[in-house]
Amino acid sequence: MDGQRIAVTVVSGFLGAGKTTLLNRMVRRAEGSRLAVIVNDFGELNIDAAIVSEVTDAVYSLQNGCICCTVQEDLLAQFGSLAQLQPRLERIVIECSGVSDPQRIVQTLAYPQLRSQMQLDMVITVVDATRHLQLEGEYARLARAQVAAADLLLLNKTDLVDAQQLQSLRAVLGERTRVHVSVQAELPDALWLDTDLDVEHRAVKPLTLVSQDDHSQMFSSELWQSTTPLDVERLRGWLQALPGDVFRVKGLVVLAQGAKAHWLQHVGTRSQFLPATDEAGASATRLVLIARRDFGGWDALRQGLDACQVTENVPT
Amino acid sequence: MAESDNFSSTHSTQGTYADLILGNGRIYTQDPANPWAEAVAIRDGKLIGVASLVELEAFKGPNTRVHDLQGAFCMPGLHDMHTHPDLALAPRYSDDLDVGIEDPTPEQLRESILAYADSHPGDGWIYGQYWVRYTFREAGLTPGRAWLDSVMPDRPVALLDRMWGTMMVNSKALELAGIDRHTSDPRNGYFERDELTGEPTGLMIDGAYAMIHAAMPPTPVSVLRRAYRDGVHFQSSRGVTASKYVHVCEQRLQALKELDDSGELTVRIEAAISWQDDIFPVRRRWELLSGERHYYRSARLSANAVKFHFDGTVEPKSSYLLTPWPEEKSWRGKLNLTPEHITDMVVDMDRQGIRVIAHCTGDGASDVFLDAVAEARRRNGFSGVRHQCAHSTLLHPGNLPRFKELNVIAEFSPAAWYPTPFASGARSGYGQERLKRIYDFKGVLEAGGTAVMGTDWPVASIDPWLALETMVTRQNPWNDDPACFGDPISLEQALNVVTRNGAVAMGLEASTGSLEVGKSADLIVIDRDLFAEPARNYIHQTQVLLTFVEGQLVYDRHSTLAPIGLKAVWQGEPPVLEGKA
Repeated sequence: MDGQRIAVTVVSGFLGAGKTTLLNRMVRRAEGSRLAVIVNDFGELNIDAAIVSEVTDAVYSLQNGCICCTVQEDLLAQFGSLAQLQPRLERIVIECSGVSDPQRIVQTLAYPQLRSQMQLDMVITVVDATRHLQLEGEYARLARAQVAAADLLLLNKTDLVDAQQLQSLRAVLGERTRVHVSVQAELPDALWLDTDLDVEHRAVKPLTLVSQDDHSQMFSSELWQSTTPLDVERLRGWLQALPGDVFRVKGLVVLAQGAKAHWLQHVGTRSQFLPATDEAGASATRLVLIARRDFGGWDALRQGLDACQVTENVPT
Repeated sequence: MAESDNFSSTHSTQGTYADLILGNGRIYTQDPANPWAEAVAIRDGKLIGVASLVELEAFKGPNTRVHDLQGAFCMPGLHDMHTHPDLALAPRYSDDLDVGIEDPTPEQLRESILAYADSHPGDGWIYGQYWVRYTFREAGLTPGRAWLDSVMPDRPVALLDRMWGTMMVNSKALELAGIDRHTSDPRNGYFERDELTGEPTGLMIDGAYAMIHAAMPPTPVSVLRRAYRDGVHFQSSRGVTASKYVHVCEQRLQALKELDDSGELTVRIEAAISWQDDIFPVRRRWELLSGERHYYRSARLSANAVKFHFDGTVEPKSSYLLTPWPEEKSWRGKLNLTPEHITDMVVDMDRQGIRVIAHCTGDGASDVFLDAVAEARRRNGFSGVRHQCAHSTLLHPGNLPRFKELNVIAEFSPAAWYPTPFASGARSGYGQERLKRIYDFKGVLEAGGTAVMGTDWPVASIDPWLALETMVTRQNPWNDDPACFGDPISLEQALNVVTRNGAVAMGLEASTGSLEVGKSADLIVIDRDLFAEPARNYIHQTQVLLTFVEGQLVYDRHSTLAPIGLKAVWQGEPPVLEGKA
């Protein structure tokens, strides 16, 4: 969406929740792409010998303890140097220590000196379905902080709990939280990579199912477009009320109140607006929405967006 | 009627006899010409005799008090050359809002704010702790000014989160601090903004706290006075006769002056004015530095010093090193001020007779600081002011001789000069090679330099005996772990460090630091012979029995001198200021 900034995926999760399994999947996915992974400990990653030569340079280690507990200085510097790498990285995946609050990294990424170079794409928290409810004291508080900071929860090891346990877990995690259920930390690309969401090159067809790739069969995405400017407060209200089955909204929005068009990215319950620099694309709103395949609320979503349009002429 | 002043001058008449004779002691004088003595005679606060009891017989007049030390060990008072009782204690004594719940819900937080407002009526600041982000998220709320305004719209509110990464403030607080969408972010943090309007959301991140603190009323003098009072009480009862309170402002100096005026400043204090506002704002910095500091001056109190943070610390890897940090290609840490800034500042302060105390943990920071002092010496000649390199955690071997050459004090703080879980974890960040030469007392001393000790409480314990023991052992004082950090020094060297060298660091080498005729009677009597047993797990258990400053009995543990009519300022067990280590 924003070619100038590197997307950052933060991976959090309590000790033993399955973060390393997920990271291993991500490292494999890094093959051939401009993706860097920052981990707490190299040793835990079983990087396949065949791909090690290709990915080694892209895996960075932060072995000096828990990155989230330290103040940002070195992290700032490390991000800064990653931003200078050529060819330019498309994405950085950063692993938080199991006993840390990812909010710390989220705050670091918002530092003014990093904001122009990278952009927090999403925080993924892996939740151990078998242990989450058993944690106590400070551990329980940390796990709650990890869940609260997440844009997406990967509810893992769900094969080891029964339906009732799963239900009570879902209740604890909250209705509006984006949850993906997994067994071995499987994470569909559609949920964390942007490959299907190239808004700019998509043919403009209102409310069309635009993605039917194999790996995203669990999800569908739709495009909504309008040449009428949107009211920002109504749009924010619409975003905040999005159902839990809608994982991501992104694209270009033309706002009635703003002089400029903005790139909008909404993941989980978090929205980010960025002024669009590309004047050419500033005349129409184009939003791609991604939701669970069996999501039945498309009509309501469309009506909600329609209602955000400012139909009367706004005096300038 | 108030006691009259009793200062002496060149033409003051002097008595013949001593006011007090302490006899039958094992007195370690730190005077190379006369290392051991049996008795001391004191008149008008000064030592008039340091010898055998027989030799001092002539000083015994009809009004001379005599005390039998019964063989007890006596030595010059200790010098703690860097500590912060105010930073450790004032937060405990201030009446801020303490929610008192580990992770309050927004509703509990709201009730707590309202209750505090009820019990503290008026329009003053509501400042306190803690809130947590996740309870807001769980309640479907967004923390920030909008929420806080809904609770308390008309009084400024600032609340810290439990992670200490975010301060939540309301609109009134932002208004008083003058923060709006036009305000720039500080270098070491930022405030969150609405992406579309640029308006602050009320979440202040990291260094942005200071923008709010600057608008808040300073810590009350009464709170600071209580903190300093407890600090000097503890220090006197642990044998400290001179100390440096590094980081003060006009409020802190006022608190120290009030203690001094009331006769409770029982330790000689050098207070260093903060050069930056990074700990608390100093509203009268330039007035103080250009001369107002002299209004606080007495025999016990001096503010002829300035303190600044030149680099950071090990945990966030912000110490400024000469070579990159372990595991890093190029990151060397960072300096908070440019070398040019520090050079001009040292030259300027040096010319005014103000000691510069520079926080330098990395070998790169001390390197730049020594360069700045070299430039000051080149331009000003030796001003008589010895500047102080604080912490000196890592020193480049090539810089060791420069402490003597440039007349710079190397101050070491015991936070991690011996192995503890904290030190072994945190300091290991420097890497094994650097750990070997951490806190290089020996290197500085062997190169002829002046090394001193500063406890740096609350970073490390304020107990000087713990620092003294571990200077000699560099081992954990509480167990048998053979691990040793850095190079130990001998007990004789360590005692020199905490007495004579401390006096040099205070600029008081002519009047204290050793027990010699003509010097001030700054001395202590303790419960053990420090040389009698191996240092480990022995020295730190030392109990101080008597402490004298300028001949005044400031501490008398068992009120032993009461029968001869001497009442100490402090008596009994030392106050408990810190938990068991």
